[in-house]
Amino acid sequence: MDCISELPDEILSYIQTMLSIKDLLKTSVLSKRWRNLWALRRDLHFDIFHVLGSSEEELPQTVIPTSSSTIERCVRLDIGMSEFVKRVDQFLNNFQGTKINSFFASFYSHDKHSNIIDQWISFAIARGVETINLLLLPMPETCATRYKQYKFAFDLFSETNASTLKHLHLEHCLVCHPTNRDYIPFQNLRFLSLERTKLDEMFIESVLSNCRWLEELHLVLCEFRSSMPKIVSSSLIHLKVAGCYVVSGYVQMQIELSSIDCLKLTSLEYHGYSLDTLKINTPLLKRIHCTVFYCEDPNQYGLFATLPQLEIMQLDIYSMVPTSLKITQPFKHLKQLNFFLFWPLDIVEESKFDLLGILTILRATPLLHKLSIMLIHPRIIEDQKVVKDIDLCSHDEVKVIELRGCVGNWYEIEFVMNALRYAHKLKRIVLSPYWRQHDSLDWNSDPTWFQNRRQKIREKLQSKNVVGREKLVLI
Amino acid sequence: MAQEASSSTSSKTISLKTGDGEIFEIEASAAKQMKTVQRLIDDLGDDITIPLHNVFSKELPKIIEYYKKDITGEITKDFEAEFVKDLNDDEVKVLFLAANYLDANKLFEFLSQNIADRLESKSVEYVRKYFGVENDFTPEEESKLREERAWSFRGIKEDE
Repeated sequence: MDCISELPDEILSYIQTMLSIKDLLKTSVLSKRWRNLWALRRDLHFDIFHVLGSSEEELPQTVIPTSSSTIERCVRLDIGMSEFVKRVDQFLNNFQGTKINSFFASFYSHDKHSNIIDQWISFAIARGVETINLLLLPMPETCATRYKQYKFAFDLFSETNASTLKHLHLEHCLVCHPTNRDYIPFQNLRFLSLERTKLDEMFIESVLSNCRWLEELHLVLCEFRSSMPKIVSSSLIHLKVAGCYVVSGYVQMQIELSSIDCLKLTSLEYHGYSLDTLKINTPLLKRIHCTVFYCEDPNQYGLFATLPQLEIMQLDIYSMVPTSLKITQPFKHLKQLNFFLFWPLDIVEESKFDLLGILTILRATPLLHKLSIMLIHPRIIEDQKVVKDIDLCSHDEVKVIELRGCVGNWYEIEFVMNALRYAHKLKRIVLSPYWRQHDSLDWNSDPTWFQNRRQKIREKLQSKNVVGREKLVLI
Repeated sequence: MAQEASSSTSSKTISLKTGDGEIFEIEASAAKQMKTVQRLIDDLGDDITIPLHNVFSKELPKIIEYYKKDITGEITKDFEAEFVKDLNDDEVKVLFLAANYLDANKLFEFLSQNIADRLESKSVEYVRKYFGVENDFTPEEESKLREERAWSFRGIKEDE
């Protein structure tokens, strides 16, 4: 075979799937066969970078506005997005494929584009689309007053057409309840994610009761009408709720989850301000990732303590855990505990910081195998304190303890020393300089760790003749 | 996936004969990754030299080099970048067609992506020549299409 053209359609179409939208359109000019080939594309992905281009002349100043006048910026962004919409329209008008698997669009949008976006979605649904990702970006604040959000109206979709949709992700939209309140399209939905979306809580409750196969639900930074929806579902497996609120007058008020009644739920991620009002019926819950901002009392996690299947708990903590803490209810089944520690906002003197409170929490987790702590944005503190020993009860199960985000501060040594005394079955305790944020794939570390601070830790532990220091692993 | 567990093939080598008559050796576990070769082994036995009529001595060593790394699990982004760095577009095409003939999936996917990357912003004429496509549009049809998609023709690089 001398020539790529002699290869069968499927293989040529495979190469095409790796081309950007722009290059793809170019191939439609190669010959009649190629013009028909690109109809085989199943996944349509339109974002500003791929549609408007990446070269300097093409990626207009619209998207990275540097011009000083804000009105000028708005106008240019408007022009840029009109061009985006025109090109996507053109692509879709020429697209001859009969089946689409996924449709992705992301650009700066507002209600002026409503009809067009509705058409795109109808286009996709008519071709049996299974995944829709509509990640709209808000116009810059200076322009925002002129525009409203795009309204995603379920009314458009008749029952037969919408049955293939399994995965829906919307950002920065208005979600309106269908006028026929008993009817929700997308009966086969498995995954629903709404971010920065304004909606009525009744809609979520409707979706939960009508979509009998819904497995995963995300509600992130959503604005509800008056309260948080009750999460009741017999199929839901993963739930994420974060930063939701209502607007009263001109004031944004955070609202908290009040009720989760999901017999199949195995994982829960919650970021809020209080767990006081939360009632749960989730007997199969296995993993929890929880943040309660500005909360000083870890006892409020006690409502999770009785969950019989709970294995892994991850807590984001913004305050210091006091060593005098009394845990009222032990976590009888917990195997792994992860802490993300942000520098406590309630500490005035840096020297008062310690990690010993976390060790006291171990008393509440008698069957724990692994304890992992990550310090976010650790700082090197000049005034190093003297390490202290505290009295703790022994822990007979924990095998691995990890402390990440180390920079060579005294509290790290203090932590290791006390942990070694307290955890009799410990196999290894790891000190690592690496840390990263939740939403990032990049690890950070302080270079002075590798220069000398790491060595200092080893020396200090040796000089204090700490028992069990052979279990220490210094990364 | 890196190491094949089968003890009978782990240290055996297979002889491959190219279309221009040269003989190369590869490990049996690497041969397993090229489905065409494996099929021939299954039919003809692993003791005789396997004939590959459509693969030549210019490209086979490079393919063998790739799969040598693959069976030890050492294929990284850096290795792949180095692998194609000094190849021109035609050399990549020949390797791609060979990988297709050998049914060598991993190499095929990697080279597909590399070809797509190389074609980015090349002119239609260049791509036609590269793929060996005969233009069956009339001049009027073609100019109408180009006009409709004018924006996708901006920013074309000079042909090499």
